[in-house]
Amino acid sequence: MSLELHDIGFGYGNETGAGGVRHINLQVADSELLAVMGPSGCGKSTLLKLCAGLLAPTQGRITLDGKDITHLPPHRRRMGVVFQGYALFPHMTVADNVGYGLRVRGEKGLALEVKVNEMLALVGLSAFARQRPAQLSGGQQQRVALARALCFKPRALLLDEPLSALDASLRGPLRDEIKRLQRLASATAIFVTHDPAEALELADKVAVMAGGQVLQCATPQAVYEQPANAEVARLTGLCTVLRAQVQAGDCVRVHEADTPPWHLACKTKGFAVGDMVQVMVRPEHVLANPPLGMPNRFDGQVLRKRYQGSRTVFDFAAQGAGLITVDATGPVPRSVALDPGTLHLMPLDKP
Amino acid sequence: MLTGHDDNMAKEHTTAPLNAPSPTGRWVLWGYSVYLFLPMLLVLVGTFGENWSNSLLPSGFTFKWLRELWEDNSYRQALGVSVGTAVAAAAVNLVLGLPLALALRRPQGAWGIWGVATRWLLISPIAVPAVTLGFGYVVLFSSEGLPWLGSWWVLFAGHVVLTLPYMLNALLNGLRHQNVDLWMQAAQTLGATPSQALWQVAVPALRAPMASGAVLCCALSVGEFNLSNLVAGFENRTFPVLMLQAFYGATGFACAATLVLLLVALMAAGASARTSALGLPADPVSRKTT
Repeated sequence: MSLELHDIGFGYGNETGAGGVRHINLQVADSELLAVMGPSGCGKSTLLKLCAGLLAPTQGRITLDGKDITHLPPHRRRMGVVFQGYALFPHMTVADNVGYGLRVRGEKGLALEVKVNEMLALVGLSAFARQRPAQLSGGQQQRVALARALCFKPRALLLDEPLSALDASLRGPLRDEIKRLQRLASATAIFVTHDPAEALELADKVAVMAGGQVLQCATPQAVYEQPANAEVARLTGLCTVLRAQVQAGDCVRVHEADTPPWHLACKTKGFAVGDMVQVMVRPEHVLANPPLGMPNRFDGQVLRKRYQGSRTVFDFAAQGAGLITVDATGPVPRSVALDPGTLHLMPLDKP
Repeated sequence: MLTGHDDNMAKEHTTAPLNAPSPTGRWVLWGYSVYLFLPMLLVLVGTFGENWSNSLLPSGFTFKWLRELWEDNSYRQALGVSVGTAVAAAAVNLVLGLPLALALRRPQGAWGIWGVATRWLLISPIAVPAVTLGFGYVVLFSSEGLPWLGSWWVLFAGHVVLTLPYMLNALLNGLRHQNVDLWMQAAQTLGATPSQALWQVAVPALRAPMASGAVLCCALSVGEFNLSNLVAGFENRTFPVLMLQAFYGATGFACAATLVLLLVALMAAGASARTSALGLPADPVSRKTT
């Protein structure tokens, strides 16, 4: 099933406009997993509620396989929703929770039992069928919520920050679990998260949102390596962004407040000489202690070191080039180089 | 030296468990218990004492007061009226209370002045003396247009009005502590119609506050005197109304009547405490476990 949002708008009627959305256009192809990523209050959960029918958009249309479902009530949309707090029914057993979507559709007896048991086996919770949700751990409750949302073969799966209430050590395995089940059910899915790592890892496509709008919707690689603007670049991970003007001969002149203008070699394809741009480089693409003679090579010193276990991130003060964030595994960098091939040019953000 | 002293202070503070009652608190609790239970004890003693006049405690032991009470038709009937009215009022309050509580649970801002007014109107029977309501009923139902004063229905209606706020409070408390809205939304996304979501998810999830609210309503209604004394007719006098008359007769008989009412009320209070202790299932959102 393909799910499409056409020019969707919704406002909560508050002064700040927080949580509302404007002019949202998104397409989720059949069996595709779209991650909607953004900071809190950007409207990503609102978007999910609009898809589920729990909120009615003030403008625009939502279609499922081309059929307009904008005004269909939630119980007729057949969408499996996993809520942020799981929203398991406390007075029902795990099995009754999982089978609820089938029971309200009139399934009963052996057929129901078989389907529920199958689903429970799939999420590895067969032993807990007769228990109440409150007796389960957070991770297990999360799997019950997932099983409940998938058991009645929904037309689409909507996940609202399903991992945010879990301990960090559980998120990794459950991420894999979600992906596995979504693949297995070949369910069209929307996954809402504030965590870029989650979005990039899980999704076929990532929609980056801020201020109620979609800033960019593309593959994880594209939003990370070729972000549409500086905001997308910052929301998807650490980066260094420099304001610059395109010069002739694959070169830009960087204008930053704290240093005199300097030149940087990079690929300027797609931009005209004189265009104002922003140059973005990810810390892992910055070369530490490069050999002499590399283009865009700067000496300097480390201002701040952030040890993160698998990597160490340095704020590097490059002579004549300002602050550059570097991800280095080897010795402390004394010089850095910006490989022209890894520099990404973006049009200047509108003020 | 000074720091060492401070350390000791800190140690003393941290080692005392925070939830242990202080000695003063314990004395207050004991004192209050004596004050609360001593009259009950005296009633108990009086019920089984043969003779009680001009002495601190009665003399002799007898079941005659209880037997007399049991054999008195008017008291049996009054107890029936009291219990029947209480159960009926609690049942109606459940039916009225659930939709009202669901409508009122919205944050006040969402309803503005209308929400505040509604809450005020519903809570006011707690604040306004029952006797005021009783006088209002007397004036209203002794008029020519509505000559129903003395009928059971007026008594019943009065008890419903008096106990509804308590039911609402119990339900609103339940709603505040549970994610009933989220559960109903979840049920609807799973295919339940709004009414299915209400009956299959909201009502069962609220059964603890519903039960405790209903029992509380019963307890309050059984003991209600002010309004009942004004509006109840001769045929449907409630137990507390009739009890007043017992105090003009033998002390033992009055004690026996009081004991019966006390037992009924205590049973109801116990049931209410038990249902609320059975309590609300743990809220899965606030539990962050592994």
